[in-house]
Amino acid sequence: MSFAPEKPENPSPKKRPPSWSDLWLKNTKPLKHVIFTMQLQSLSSPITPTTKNNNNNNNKNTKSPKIPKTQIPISNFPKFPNPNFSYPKSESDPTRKLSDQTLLQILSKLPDSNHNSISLVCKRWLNLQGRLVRTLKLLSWHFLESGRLVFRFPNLTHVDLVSGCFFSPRNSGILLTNRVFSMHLGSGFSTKWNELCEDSLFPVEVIDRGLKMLACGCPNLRKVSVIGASELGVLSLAEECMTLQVLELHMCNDDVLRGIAACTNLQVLRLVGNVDGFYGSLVSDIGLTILAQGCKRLVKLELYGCEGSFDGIKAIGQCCQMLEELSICDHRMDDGWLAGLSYCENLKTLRFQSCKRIDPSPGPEDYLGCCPALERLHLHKCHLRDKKSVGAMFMVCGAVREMVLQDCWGLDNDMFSLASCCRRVEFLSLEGCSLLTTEGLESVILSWKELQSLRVESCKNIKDSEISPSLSTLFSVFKELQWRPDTKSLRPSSVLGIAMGKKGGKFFKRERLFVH
Amino acid sequence: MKFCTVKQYFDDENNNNVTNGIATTVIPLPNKHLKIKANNKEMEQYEQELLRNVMPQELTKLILAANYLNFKEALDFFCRTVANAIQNKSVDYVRKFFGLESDFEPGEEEKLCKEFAWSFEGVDED
Repeated sequence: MSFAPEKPENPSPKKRPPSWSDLWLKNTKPLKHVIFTMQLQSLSSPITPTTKNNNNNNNKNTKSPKIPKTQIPISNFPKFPNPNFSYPKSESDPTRKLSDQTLLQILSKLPDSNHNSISLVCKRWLNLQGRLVRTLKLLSWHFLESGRLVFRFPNLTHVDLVSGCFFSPRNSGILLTNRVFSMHLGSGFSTKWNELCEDSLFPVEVIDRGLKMLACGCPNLRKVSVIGASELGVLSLAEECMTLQVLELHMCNDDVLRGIAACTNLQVLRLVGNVDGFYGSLVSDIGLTILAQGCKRLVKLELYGCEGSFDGIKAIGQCCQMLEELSICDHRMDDGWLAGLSYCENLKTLRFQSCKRIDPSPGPEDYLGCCPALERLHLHKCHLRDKKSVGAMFMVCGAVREMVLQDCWGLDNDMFSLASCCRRVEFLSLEGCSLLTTEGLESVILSWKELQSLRVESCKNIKDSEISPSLSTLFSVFKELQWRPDTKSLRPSSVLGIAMGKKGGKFFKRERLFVH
Repeated sequence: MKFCTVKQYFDDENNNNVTNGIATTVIPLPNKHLKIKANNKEMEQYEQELLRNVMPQELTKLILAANYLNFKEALDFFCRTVANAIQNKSVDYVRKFFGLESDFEPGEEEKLCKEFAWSFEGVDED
């Protein structure tokens, strides 16, 4: 329903007492909450942030008029005049009559690549375009610290600060990249990598200050990544940004985790403790327990280079009832931690990445338990040389339906035979497992009665010629088979498409069924 | 629902927002929509023809009319047309298209350009 249009404002505005605007601006707390509420709504009511911006632009003598359009649902918000208000000449600028809402609609249809040129048209467009921006990766800390970031982009939801937390020379052509972070280096760097990172990082007070500024300026934040913050910085994020759901903390330690407990709506968390060769930061059981007690709504957790032990994992399992995905990367946990996984009752996905060891001394089998709801097990670039570790891991993951093993060292036939205890596997993917032979593969998958899909890629010791009749019969039953153990095989994406398993002796010789 | 505003428009004689010329363009749109609802391509062609020779000022008036009449599809279409017209064009072109002038202070534009280059990246729209 639209109302009858209001007449445009009287060109000579009535003299209002100056204290009204001042009062409004001084008492910013209710204003902030009002704006927060309004920003959370759809783009249907943009007049509030514009008006707020209008105040900021007061001294800059903008020509943007505020003739309200009739369809703004929230009409209680008072329109207070820009002291430099001048009645627009309707002939000169057709877009002046367009409300912010409509102009935003137009701007939102433009592709991302136009962002820069659109912002440079005029101040009003700069402000409106800035309001559309949701994601940002900061490169220069000064941009945040000077307040420019929150002034230009008040509606940010995803912010990546990691690259900006380093003091790095602007024009450097040297990029240092690790799995976890990347930074530009000046040509005068020393070769002591350990110190490089810590030397180039801004002091913790600076980072905390920046975080606080960001939190206050962008209350709709949902995802933040930062390095080198302390618990104060994290606390300010927790207090101001109620909608924070994803947090990535690099160089995290137990103290920082004290601040995390205040982020009650957190769902996805990534903690980076130790990065080999760059920095070492301790996340231990203490931190994990604090985390467990604070973030009960956690759904996805990634622990990179963290220490800890059975107690920490058990605490997480018991307190974070909604935890569905756990990723362990390059861990330094104490032996015996695997048994803690059985406390994670709703865990569906378990990932190991770049782990040099799993759990050399997992404890007695009876105490290992099993993750009851586990569906997926992914092992990527791990060392699987220790039989006890691997055996214990497969036991804990006895209920998995999907198993993915990629580029794992030490996975020979013996090791893989330990996987037979996972009797419910429906999908298996093997990639880069160069020690495994067809015989080893066969002995396991023949025991898996529920197996329906198989993918074998780049496993050079699995030879087509060694496929036994029972294995080929099994293959014919599969819903999906991707068979590329060596580079010579072509890739049949579905068994049905290549007439595999059909009785057709005249078309295919049995032993050549898999070679095309 | 679409037509209650139109009815109001006819009832309310005193409005300045929608001149007659614009009204004759916008108002037949709902009927056409209903007729060619199933066939999107035809609708597109019809709309393309309609707007082939329209100047930016006209376009703005059309948008205002559609906005006032609460006609969402037309509003969306006109906005898309404007967006297509200024897509991937330079800053000056966009300014000329709308007849805008830059109200930035002398050093400010340069400062903004620097910010774009060095201060952040990965800016996505909603």
